[in-house]
Amino acid sequence: MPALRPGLLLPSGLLLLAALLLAACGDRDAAGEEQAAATPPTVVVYSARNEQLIGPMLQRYTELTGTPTELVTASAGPLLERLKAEGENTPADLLVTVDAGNLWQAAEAGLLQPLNSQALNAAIPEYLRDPQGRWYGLSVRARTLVHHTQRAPAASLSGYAALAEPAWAGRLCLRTSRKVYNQSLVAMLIAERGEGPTESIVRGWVENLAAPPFPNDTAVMEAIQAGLCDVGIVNSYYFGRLQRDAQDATLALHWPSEAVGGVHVNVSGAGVVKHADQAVAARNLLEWLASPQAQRKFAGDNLEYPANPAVEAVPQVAAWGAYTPNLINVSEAGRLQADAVKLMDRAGYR
Amino acid sequence: MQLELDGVAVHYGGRPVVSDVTLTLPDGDFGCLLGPSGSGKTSLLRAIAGFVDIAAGSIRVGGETLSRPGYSREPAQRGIGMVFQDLALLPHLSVADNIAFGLNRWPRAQRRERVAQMLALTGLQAHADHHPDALSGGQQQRVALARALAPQPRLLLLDEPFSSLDTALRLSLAEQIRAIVAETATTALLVTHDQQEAFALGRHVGVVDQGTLRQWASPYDIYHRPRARSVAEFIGDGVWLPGRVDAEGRVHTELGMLGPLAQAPGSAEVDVLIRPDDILHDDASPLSATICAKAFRGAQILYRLELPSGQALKTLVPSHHNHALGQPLGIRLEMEHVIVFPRSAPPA
Amino acid sequence: MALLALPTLLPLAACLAALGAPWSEHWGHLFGVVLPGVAGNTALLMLLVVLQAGLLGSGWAWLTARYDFPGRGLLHAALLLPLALPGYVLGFVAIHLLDYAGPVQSAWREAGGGPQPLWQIRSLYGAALILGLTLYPYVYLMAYNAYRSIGRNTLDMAATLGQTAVFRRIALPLAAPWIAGGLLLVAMEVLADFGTVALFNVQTFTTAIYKSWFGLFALDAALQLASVLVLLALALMAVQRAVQRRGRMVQRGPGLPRRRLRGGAALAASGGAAGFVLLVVGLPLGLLLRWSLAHLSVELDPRYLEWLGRSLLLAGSAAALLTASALLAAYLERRQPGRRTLQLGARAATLGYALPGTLLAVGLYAPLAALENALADWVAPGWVTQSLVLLLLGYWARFMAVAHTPISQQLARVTPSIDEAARTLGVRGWRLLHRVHRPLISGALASAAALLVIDVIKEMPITLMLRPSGFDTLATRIFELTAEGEYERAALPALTIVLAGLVPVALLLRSGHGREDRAEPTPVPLAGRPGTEALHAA
Repeated sequence: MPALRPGLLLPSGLLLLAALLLAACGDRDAAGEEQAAATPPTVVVYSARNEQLIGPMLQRYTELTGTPTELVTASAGPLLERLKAEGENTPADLLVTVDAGNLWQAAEAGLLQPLNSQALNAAIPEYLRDPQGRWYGLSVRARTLVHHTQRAPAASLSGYAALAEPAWAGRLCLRTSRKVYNQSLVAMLIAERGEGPTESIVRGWVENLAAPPFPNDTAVMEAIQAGLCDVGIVNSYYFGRLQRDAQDATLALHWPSEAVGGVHVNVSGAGVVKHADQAVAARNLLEWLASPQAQRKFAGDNLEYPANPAVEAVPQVAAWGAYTPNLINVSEAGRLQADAVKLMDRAGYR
Repeated sequence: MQLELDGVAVHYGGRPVVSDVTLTLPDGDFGCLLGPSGSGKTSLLRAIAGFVDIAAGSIRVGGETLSRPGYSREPAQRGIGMVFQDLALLPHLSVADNIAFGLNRWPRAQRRERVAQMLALTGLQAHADHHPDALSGGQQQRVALARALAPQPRLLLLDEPFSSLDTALRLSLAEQIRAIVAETATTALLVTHDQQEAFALGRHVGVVDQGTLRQWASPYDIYHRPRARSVAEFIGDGVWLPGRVDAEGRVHTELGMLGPLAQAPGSAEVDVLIRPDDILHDDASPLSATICAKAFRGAQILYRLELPSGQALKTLVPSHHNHALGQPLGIRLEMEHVIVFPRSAPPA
Repeated sequence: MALLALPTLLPLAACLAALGAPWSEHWGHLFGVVLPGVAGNTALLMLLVVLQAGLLGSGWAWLTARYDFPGRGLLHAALLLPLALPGYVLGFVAIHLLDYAGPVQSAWREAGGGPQPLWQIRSLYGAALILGLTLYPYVYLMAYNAYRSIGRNTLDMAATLGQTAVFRRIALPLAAPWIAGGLLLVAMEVLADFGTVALFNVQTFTTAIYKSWFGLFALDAALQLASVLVLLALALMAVQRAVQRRGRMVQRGPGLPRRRLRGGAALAASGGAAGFVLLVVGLPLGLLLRWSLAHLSVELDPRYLEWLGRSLLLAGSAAALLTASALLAAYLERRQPGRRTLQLGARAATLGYALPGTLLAVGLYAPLAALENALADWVAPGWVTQSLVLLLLGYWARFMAVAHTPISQQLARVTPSIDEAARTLGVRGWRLLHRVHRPLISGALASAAALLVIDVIKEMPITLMLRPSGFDTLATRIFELTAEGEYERAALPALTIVLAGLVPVALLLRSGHGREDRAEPTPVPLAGRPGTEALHAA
């Protein structure tokens, strides 16, 4: 027993533990004192959007307004459960997620409060926010077609449904159905076309797959580059990231036209927590995030589209050209998500 | 079959641990190698089994050479059975499967028959399906023996097989095992540090000390005609009495004159081995010694005595002759075999 | 004892309560569409991984335990290294290298091999391969110690009886109870794994649980599925106990002699083991290093040291807390041997090991948050939910088995007669613990602590869910980066975690598992794989 001395390990571990607990308590005491003083209260943000995307935004907000913020990141499911469990005593003020489905669930579970904010209603188009004002989309993520420019020229493509046609047999690559982006896409197709037609489309996709579904969108595009398949469905910003890493002219995005239903979009967005202690401050933060001065960075940092139509996308994104979005309210993605998941299970889309 | 060792030497890492061992164990006999721990007796046994190469000499079984320098037949090809000190029973196999372990090349029917035979021979029929950990120490012993005997070995080796058992069980089990081995008429060689065990089992007993075989003889000869001082010291109880040999070969000692000796010891100054049974209690004797210590042994009392010169003696006396410490005890020397060795080292 | 199991029992109770609750509205769909495939996949995956881990573990261990060849000591240590390698990391590397777009198949196509894929790595078989490669060290450790404790006499006995199939007829059957113990760990890891199967897009119970929760938003259905998982784990434990009951060896006498390999055989042994380790550990570490360097300027900000510090802090305090509690519980068990409640408690505490971390986290969080709410008038807000207490309870629920199993097994070997002997010599109380017990159990304590450190550093979902606001660690950093597919940027924190995990592996080797002296096999802790459930591979 030369290396670890349990005799020392145990007491020193317990000491460490005590120190930790004291430190944790100390932090909160300090926070409490701060609150007691006249400094603006801290806004606590629960976020399923990445720390590296939301963190800089909050930092800038604090610099501008002096309002301190605190960030808790986790995936959406656990965050919602946490909010539910905390109930009235939740420290959270603002909830940020990356998918309309999650926001819909949060609203459905009564975790968010309606805002009815003129500023937000003016800044965010109707189809990108909750009809009851409980949450607002902040950036738009277009889920569209990506294709090999030679093997699948733009002229041969139309919309999502066409990818189910036999012409695409063995030429399609898709990401796993476990990803919420695909669940939302299928939910929106259900909202647009009804369940039966959507199921035939999904079955067609599955039949056309060149390989089992991939773990992420980047892998889908790499497979197309490598020649395994000719076309796939991805979120546009993944394409942007691939472009940034290595310029490659063989891949391009394709926007389904208005004639075939337009481009299905999703949002990352936010809502004020129902039992927020700092509801007003949280609303101010949300309004700022939707404002032109924040929108460009909020969307641009991840190569997404601003939800506020008054703001232009960053040049790299703008270069992909204009598209026509499908105008069905994105909350349908939440309402129909369970149906979409079951449909994909039935269709054998793994 | 007959086991012959001829000038066998075993080296471990260049260091000799056994040297120049020569012995013959006749077919069907039970031999015992007796020696203190570290004497090299187990190394010798492992050489016979083929686990250790020999550095000199030869090992033959039934006239066939199994080992000589530069050649050693695989243990598996020797036809030698072995019972190990820790028995080496396989805990995951039943008693019957343990016994059948060495019979895997036998036809199934014969194998079954042989296992049944061995179970009957060792009285383990009722335990055929039990696992070894459900058996008593003595039963486990018999399983190990049955397993070693099952393939009908030409020679059976037993390495301190009783060392983990208590004394009472040890002797009765030794008796059983001798009977079982005798019934199969297997030649057997046992290694032990317990002389009672060796004397009880062996028709031939060898005393091994510091890697050499000091004597290979019957138990009677080992006890009464030890050929080496170390043999005399290791076997039985006794004291050394200084003596002087005269021209006629008679030995003059403090207790009187002994001999004459059949063979000149090669030195005038000698030590005479006096066993406790060589000294008889005799109130009428002119000789007497003071009682220094006594140990009650039921039928007898072992007295430790001191002569006026300071020489120590031991005697076994029927226990109704109960004398107190410090009292003088009349003694008389009566020796059938006078054992003398040149005085080379201080008496033990 | 109930205390020991409490953090595990809370989520377990949640699962079982869900079984009693009305069937979820989604149950028909789950039962009819999802479960048949999922059950088959889980069973096949478990079978393949158990087979592979069993072959690799017992095979390599026989080589290093029975034979001597150049570099054996080093290779013995190296063969344990995959212990520090999270499955999702190795899986990502394997997919990167071996998938259609990867360098291997690309080179094949460029060499004129035709457009047909050579193989499909992203499949159940691929996942089984990776899980087997990262999990076999559990079997290896157990088998190695078991082989080393086979007595020389047993081998000699076989030789005199003409048995040449030593491995098959002697070593394997004798080591079987220990190998079964290792395989149980492997099987439970497979049941709880999410990160790797998600990466390979294999649908198992865990992925079904996640889909129910995050896709169908039906936590009740997720808990019902999880209760099936609990039953499966119980069944596995029963099988393992049955195997373990079968003949435990206690061998005396000299230990297993090593056979020296020479010439071609020695070369094959050294080369084979070295090649295997280089492929499984060296290559992934090399790639991680390359990616780390490529992204160093972006990733290496001042917070990095802070994350590392917190990871180490958490790992250290969890290791100390869990070993201390397990030790206390083991002493209680020792004082009242055979008490049914104690045994049940210990077994329940072990079950947390087969449950996905996220589920444990929610099962723990919900009742404690409710309690905190109920006591809101009396206690400061967040005294549980916003402190490290909750996080440590989470680790407790998931990893108590890692601490409890070896410590209680080792303490059971300190027989009452040892205490009595010491007492007659006037050694009592603390001095008894210090002079007699400490040397006897310190090995088990140290190896439990070492494995706990590895496990906690890698643990992801519980850390994410139960940490106080903003308490970021290396693992949460990986989560942040992989959530949006930035796998290569995650290389630096992943590499750091692997390297941090290597230190305890080294200590583990020095503290007894690799030691050459021979005793009964040292019990190996039930050790955890990374909780990678929240890894956004989906």
